[in-house]
Amino acid sequence: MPEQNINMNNHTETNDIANLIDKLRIMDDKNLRELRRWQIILGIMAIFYIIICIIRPDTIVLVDTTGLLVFFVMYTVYFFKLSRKDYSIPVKQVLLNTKKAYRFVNPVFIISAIVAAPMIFGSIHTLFSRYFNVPDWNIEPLYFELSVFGIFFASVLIVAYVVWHARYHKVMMEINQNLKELEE
Amino acid sequence: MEDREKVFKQLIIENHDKIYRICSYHSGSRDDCNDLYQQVLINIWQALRTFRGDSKISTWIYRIALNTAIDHTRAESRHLQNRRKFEIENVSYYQNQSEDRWQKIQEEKMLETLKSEIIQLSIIDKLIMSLVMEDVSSKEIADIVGISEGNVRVKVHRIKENLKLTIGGQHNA
Repeated sequence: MPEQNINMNNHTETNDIANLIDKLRIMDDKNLRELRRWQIILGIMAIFYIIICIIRPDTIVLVDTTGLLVFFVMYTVYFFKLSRKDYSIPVKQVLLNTKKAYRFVNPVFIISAIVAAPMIFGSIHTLFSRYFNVPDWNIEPLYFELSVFGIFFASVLIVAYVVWHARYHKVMMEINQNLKELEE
Repeated sequence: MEDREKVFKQLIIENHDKIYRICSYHSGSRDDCNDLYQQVLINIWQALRTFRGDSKISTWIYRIALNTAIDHTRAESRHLQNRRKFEIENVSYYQNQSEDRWQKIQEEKMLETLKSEIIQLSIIDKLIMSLVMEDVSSKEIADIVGISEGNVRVKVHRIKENLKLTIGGQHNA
């Protein structure tokens, strides 16, 4: 969530509140712009994906774009589901909701990692065959560029998965501990 | 939009001390407390859009403050180190006071000891005790936390017993 530098102390004066409201208004505008930006990115991705599905249904491009789409959907879900939670409900419910949100997002990361692994393998295979000019392997020139992109993109997916996995376990452990304490 | 700003302004004027005190239990230093306080205000502002008046306004504010505090604690890795620093700052403040106020200072010091012990409780115990220190009723605590009133009473009793033992042990030592 974007944060503004709001100077508030124990003795809130009317002027401070007016300043704070100004800054919160700016924050609202910024959040709205961010939401619109994500809608546009997802819209473009979806159109790109549909076009690829129509013109090249049998290529590695489809795998790449599927991965890319999964990544963006995953990130958007994560962003909106977790960063905009309702704080005005009971503490226990918030903990349960956070747990649910993390569980919901987790399979998307796992799918991304599963997509990433063969993508790396396929891309390396294509690059090698291109570099060593293996006659049996039929390579289209387009695949070369796509393979470089594929390795880069799949690496990003795998790093994202590892980072997420560590965070997921840490947060789940804490939430489970809090819930256990509440129910004791 | 105008209404939202008006309501927000009124809420902050009426409740900023209460919110700040709650934040102080869940932060390790003054800066940390200010950060948490700021985040609580941001969350109050955002939650105002969906406020339907189903619960008491104090319950609503406490919920936001405590839920934000839990998130803040989760994100705050330097929390433990700062907590100790905060305690030491408070003690040195008392040592600089004149002797004629000794009795009052002793009482305040006792309260500070209690506060510093509460700060070291687990997050759930801490949030319940921070509400007890604010004189919130068991029923309202149950509403805020989302557990039964009986469960709240048992927890408060158990935490108080543990605090008595800890503080008693410190005084005997």
